[in-house]
This record gives sequence, structure tokens and C-alpha cells, in this order.
Amino acid sequence: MTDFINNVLIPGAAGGATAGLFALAFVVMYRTTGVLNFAHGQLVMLMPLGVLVVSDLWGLPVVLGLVVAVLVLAAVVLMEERVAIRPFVQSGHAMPWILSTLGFSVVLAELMAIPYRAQPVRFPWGISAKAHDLGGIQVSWAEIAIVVAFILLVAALTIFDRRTTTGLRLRAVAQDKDGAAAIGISPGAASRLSALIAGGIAAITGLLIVSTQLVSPELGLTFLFNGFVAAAVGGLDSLHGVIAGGFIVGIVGQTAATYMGGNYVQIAMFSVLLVVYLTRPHGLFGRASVRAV
Amino acid sequence: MSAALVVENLGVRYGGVTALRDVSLSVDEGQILTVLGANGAGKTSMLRGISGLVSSTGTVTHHGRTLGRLDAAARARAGLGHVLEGRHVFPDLTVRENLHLGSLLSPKPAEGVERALALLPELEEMAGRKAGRLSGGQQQMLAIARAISGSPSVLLLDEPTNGLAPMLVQRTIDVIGAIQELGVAVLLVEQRVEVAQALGSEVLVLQRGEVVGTAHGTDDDLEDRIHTAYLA
Repeated sequence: MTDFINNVLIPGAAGGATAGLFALAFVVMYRTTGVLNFAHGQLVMLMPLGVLVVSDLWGLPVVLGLVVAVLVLAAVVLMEERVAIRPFVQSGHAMPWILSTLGFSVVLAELMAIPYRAQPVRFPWGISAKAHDLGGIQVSWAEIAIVVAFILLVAALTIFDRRTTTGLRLRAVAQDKDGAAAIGISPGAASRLSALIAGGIAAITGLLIVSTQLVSPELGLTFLFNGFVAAAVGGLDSLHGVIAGGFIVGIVGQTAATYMGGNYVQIAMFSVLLVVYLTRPHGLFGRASVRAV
Repeated sequence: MSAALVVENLGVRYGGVTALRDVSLSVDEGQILTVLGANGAGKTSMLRGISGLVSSTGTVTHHGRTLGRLDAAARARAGLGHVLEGRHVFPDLTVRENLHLGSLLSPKPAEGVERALALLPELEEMAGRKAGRLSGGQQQMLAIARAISGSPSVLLLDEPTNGLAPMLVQRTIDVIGAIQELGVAVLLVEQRVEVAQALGSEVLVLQRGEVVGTAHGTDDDLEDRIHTAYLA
């Protein structure tokens, strides 16, 4: 049992939380715009890379690096929302936003490769990934931090969604853009706010995953597929669905890696996605909109 | 009475298709103007052009202020309420939440909700129900109440009786009459001649995107004239 906890449950939960954080950003953006942001992987890397550039390359304090990175990330997120997402929100076709967000991710990756010439770099200020022994259970602060951060973020966003007027406005836009505009709620402003929230999630995700990973422009892409599967399994319009989606993806992936080998991880995840989509096309917690006639 | 809404030479195009051409009208405070027309006459495009949900040419003036390039949300905030065709309530939000969101346009949101519920008290007992679970008629009442809770000075109503049972049609007519008594300027588009007759309102007839005639809801020969226009 201890082996199962150490080899599957704990790394699976940490991996699931990582996938869940990506899924959370997907869901936040998808609900108000109907767009899956394929550039999110690069946005996740922007925060640690920004801190590295300011503090490692320029030799300025880390705190200043954090501030600069947050500002740059916010600017990039708003730019992407304006040029690569909002123009295609109501086009009724997926292809324009698939291409525009993919294109934006390619441009970002190229720009982010410049400071370190595309070489992976260690992030020296991350949370310790050293495993501690707790009565036979091996767990690191980095694993605990990402799981706790994931659950707290979902809880905070759910409260924001249910208990605040701004959250209610975002839900209104998610359900009916014309209906929202007709009562003075701007779908454009909702899209901007969602992009900033997703950017905030990207910043936190980036700082957490570099505890165990080297910073590189492509790192975010590695997790993008897992995040998409987690969002789809939980339901693309469900905030709390990402908890189930994330942990299912993490545990299934880690089980496959442990007992079958690393080559079977993606096959196992895709199989989960297929089963969920065949049985519940809107995901485990997603809902087809109900409208009486 | 001063003009609450003045529309001059309004035009709406979808790609190469002209849906509305050179429509001009004016609605005073506390007045109802009914625009009658068959399917495809351009009624919905006209309202969407006025409220900014689709881009349009021409001029829309609200209480002397030209709305120009303001988008739909900004026009709503300026006091232009719009009850859309198909109701467009928020299906996963409760009736209470729908009304709360609508009332945020009002300077005093609580009073906005009160005014809406005074007009449609039947919504009070379903306040906790999801809007998507209501019947079509109840959703229509909610859509009207949501717009009224925002205290608009002009209300655009897009075929509010469409698909309703006769009893609910009469209820809707009564509610529109009560909205008029609040001093709101109402621009109503309808296919049913009897609604204009019941409200005794001024009537514009729209056909293939153009105004082809004017009448009054109390005119004896209104129905014949409308049918002639529909079939022309």
C-alpha cells in the first residue's frame, strides 16, 4: 500500500493538480468566450522566465522580477485576448481561434527562446522538491504546494463565481452574450477579465511547476494536452469539474506510467477521454444548457 | 411629450444582403409604437440595429443624445432596454439572479426589482427556480421583468407574444400597457395585428426592410390594410 501511495497516489495527485491548473484556466476562458486558449502553455512559462531574466540575467532583486513578470504577463494576456481571441468569439467557427491562439503561442515561444537561446534553465527560487519521509510516505513541499494551490484556487474561483456580482456577470455572459449585452454587461469586458484571471492562474502554475522542471519555452506545451484532457473530462463549463478531471488524469497517467511504462501514459489518458465523451459528451460535470420552449 | 427615441435612416446589412433600408421613426415618452410585419420583414434587424447588437447605418438618438458608435452594453446603460426575440434569459441562473443582473442598470437596483415584481408578481413565487426550467410564457415574463428592473426610459420589445397561449398574449398586452403608464417609451415589433389593436398604438408597417405604411391601432380597416401589405 505504501508503495502505491508513494509511486502512484502522491505523484499522480501532483501531476493531476498540474493538469487541473491548466484545465482551470481553459475553463475560465472557455466559459465566457467559447475559445480554448492553445497559447496557455507559453503563458505559464512567461512568469518564471520573466523572473529569471530580471533577476538572473539583469541581476536585479527577485521581488522586482516578480513585479515585472506579472506586468508583462498581464500585458501579453490582454494583447492576446484583443488580437487572437475576441475577434473570433462570435464567428461561429472554431478554426479561426484555433489558428490564432496556436499562432500566438508560436510567436511567444520564439520570443521566449531569445534570452537563454532556447536552452532549458533551472529556476533557483522554486519550492523544494526534496522528498520528506512521513512514516514511510515520501512527499515533497513542491507536491503539497501544487495540490493545495490547485484546490484553493478552484474554491476561490467557485466562491467568486457564485457569491459576487462580477462572478454572476461572467456567468451571464457565458450563458447568453446577446442577453448579457442587452442588460448592459459588456461581453468584451467579460472576456478581458476572464483572460486576466486565466493569466493569474498561469502565473501561479508557472511558479509552482518550475520546482520540478527546467524552465524552457516548450515546457508549458508538455502539460497542455493533459490540461485539455482534464478540462474535457471534468466538463469545459464546470469550475469544480476540473478537480475530478485533474485528479483522474493525474492518477490514471501515473498508474499507466508505473505499471505499464511511460509510453502508455498518453494512451491511457486518451482512453479516459474517449470513454467520458462516449458516455457523457459534456464531461462529468459539464451541462448542456437547459432551455424550456 | 418629448421624443425619447428618434431613429433616422436606419439601415442594416448582413454581408451583401440588405435587411433594413432607410427606416425612420420616433417614439415619445409614455408612447407605444408598434411595428408590424411578416417574417423576414426586417423587424428584428431594426431593433438589433437600434440597440447596437448589429452594426447599422443611420442615426439613433436617445433623449437628444446621439448614440453613434456605442455598443449594445453601453446603449443599455444609457437607458435603452431590449427584450430580445427568443427571450434570452440566463437559463442556469435563478429568476432572482436574472432580475438582480437586470436591476444593476437602475440607479437603485432594489427599487428596480420591486418595480418589476409589482408589474409581474407571479415571478415572486418562482424566484429560486432556474430560468431554464420555466415555461416559455414564464421566460417571456422574466425577460420583460429583467428589462424593466433596469429602469429603462425606452423599451424595445421583439415579438413578446410569439408562441404564447391566448391567455398569456392578453397578459403580455396588459403588461405592455402598464409599462407605458410608467412613462416608458415602447417600441414593439409584432406579427399579430390584434396586439396593436388592443394597445391602440401608432403603427408602422414594415415590408422587405422598408416602411410601407402607417396606421393607428384603432383604425377600423387596420387588419385589412395590414393583410394587404403582407401579401403585396
